[in-house]
Amino acid sequence: MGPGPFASASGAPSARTSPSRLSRRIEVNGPAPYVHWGFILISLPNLVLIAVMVALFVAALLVPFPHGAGHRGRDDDD
Amino acid sequence: MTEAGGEGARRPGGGASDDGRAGSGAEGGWTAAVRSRLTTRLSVDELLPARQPAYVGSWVYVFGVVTIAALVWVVASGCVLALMGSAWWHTSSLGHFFNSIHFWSVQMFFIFMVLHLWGQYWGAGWRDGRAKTWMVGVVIFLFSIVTAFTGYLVQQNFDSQWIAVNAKDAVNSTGLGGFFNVLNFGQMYGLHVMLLPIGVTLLVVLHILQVRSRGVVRPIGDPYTPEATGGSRTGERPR
Amino acid sequence: MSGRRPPIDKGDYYRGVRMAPYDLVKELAIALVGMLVVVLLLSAVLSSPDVPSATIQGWAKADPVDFVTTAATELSGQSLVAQYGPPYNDGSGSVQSLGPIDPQQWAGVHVAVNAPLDFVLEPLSQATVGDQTLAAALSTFNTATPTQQQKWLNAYIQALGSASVTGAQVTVASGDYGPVPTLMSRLLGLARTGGLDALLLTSDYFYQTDYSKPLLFLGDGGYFSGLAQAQDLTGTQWGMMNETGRYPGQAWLWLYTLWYQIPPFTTASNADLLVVVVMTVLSLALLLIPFIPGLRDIPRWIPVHRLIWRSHYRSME
Repeated sequence: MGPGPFASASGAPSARTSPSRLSRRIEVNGPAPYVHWGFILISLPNLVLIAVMVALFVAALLVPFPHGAGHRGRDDDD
Repeated sequence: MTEAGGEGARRPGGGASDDGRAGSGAEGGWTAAVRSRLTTRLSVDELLPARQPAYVGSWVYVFGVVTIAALVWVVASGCVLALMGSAWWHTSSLGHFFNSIHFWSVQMFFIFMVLHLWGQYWGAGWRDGRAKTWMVGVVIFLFSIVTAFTGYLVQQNFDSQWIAVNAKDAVNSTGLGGFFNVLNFGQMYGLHVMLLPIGVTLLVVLHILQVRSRGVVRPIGDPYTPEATGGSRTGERPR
Repeated sequence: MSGRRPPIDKGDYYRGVRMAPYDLVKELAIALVGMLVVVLLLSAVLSSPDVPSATIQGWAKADPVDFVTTAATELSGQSLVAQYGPPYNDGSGSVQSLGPIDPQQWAGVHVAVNAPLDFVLEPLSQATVGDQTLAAALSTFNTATPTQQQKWLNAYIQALGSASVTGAQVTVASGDYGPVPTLMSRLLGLARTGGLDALLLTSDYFYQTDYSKPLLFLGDGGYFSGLAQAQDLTGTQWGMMNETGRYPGQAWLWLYTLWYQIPPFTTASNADLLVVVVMTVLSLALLLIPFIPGLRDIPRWIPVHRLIWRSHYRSME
């Protein structure tokens, strides 16, 4: 397709706005891999995001919260 | 020190400096009523206590404040993008970086907002008079989705075009298409950078005030019983 | 709702509850800094998507046959947009209703789009300056009867099915198309210069922010949806959830887009309205959970809360 109205004048992606070296290695602008399960079709980035969310929630349930001075139940004023 | 948090506390003899208008109920009219409500439910002690119930010691409780943190960066990066204009991020690497900050903080905002929703659902956080807090939270969720939607529409790139052309059919089917025109960049931009963020922010402030004024809901199985007596075992100051 | 009862006093509510020091402000500060670090890292490493917008100019250059076919279809009034209905015009091709409930029709026309005029004839009439051939072709077309116009257009659209492209020209087999080939070739030329992008945006005003016309025209073509297909953004690909490239999209729209993948929504002509209704009902249910028996009791039945508050329950035993 032709350059959009906001692309650089030369039509090539500007070197200043191209992805970082690491993101180029991940090919962030390439087509995403997809997971197809029955009628469910989900992109890998989305699936990873949802998996991370579930993991965070489970971790929040299981990882002990530091209680510090709480157990001693100090009676000092606020 | 500030007044103790007694519900319905009224200043005795407060009518001397008021105009003594009849029919407003509390002495001092509406002003005194608002002041009384604010100082009893939302005094600085209520808003910023130094102690919380010990049962708040669970990582599930941090999802709310992390969501707020994400929102702060969404708004801050959004302000920079708005300051520099809608085309800036396409031609400037600094602009693109700020767009990235905006993009990822929005992702973080939704991630932690949903985690917060899950936590509140499984803890039945609406109990003990907190139904309105839950409802405001759901409204924030829905409002945020609309805000994000307008955001995607004003990126001024292929994604915006595609989303606009496809979303129009759903919006049109409701009869709103003539009043909320997803193809109209000017309208979507004004909604996204001003009207909707103001709405979200006000709702979030309300939500926080609701939580602070009512306190954190007690665990399921350890209910609040109004008849319960007993002295303070915990250092909590008596009324 | 508990509107009548005075709110429970916090001191009363916490009576008997063990309190502990908790620094809210420090917590917020840590959350702010931590979130900033995470977001800055993600931004620095992964950046954000920005696939450049499609233009009518790009379309005309990349797929001139699709462009001309779309333009001819618009001129004949047979395109999706031409027959759409409110809020664009008085057609009915894309009007969705649910039994007697017809909000799209009730709302009426508010974003007036006359496809043959707005997308083809008006821009061409602007371009007749110094172009006698175009002026003559336009005049021939405009003074012909509607039946004659349709005859030319239908024959031409059919011939486009086996058109060939030579240089910047679209060539079809010879036939009786009247002035249509001239009109289309001029429109194609106009598009290739970028002039049509500008002309579709313009109106009586200097400043423009409403892209309704260029977007509707672009949306009627196959080129545009082909670009989307390549980015996995189309409906059958759960596109609503997806983002261009390898970025996460709008995962929170999962339930909204799920309905489009299952019957009867897959084949319903009013699928959009149906999904809106379903999602409105479900959103209301989410809003009203505190009042819905069953839904509000699940947290009690499935004791995830025993994990959330396990140290509290331990201290109670």
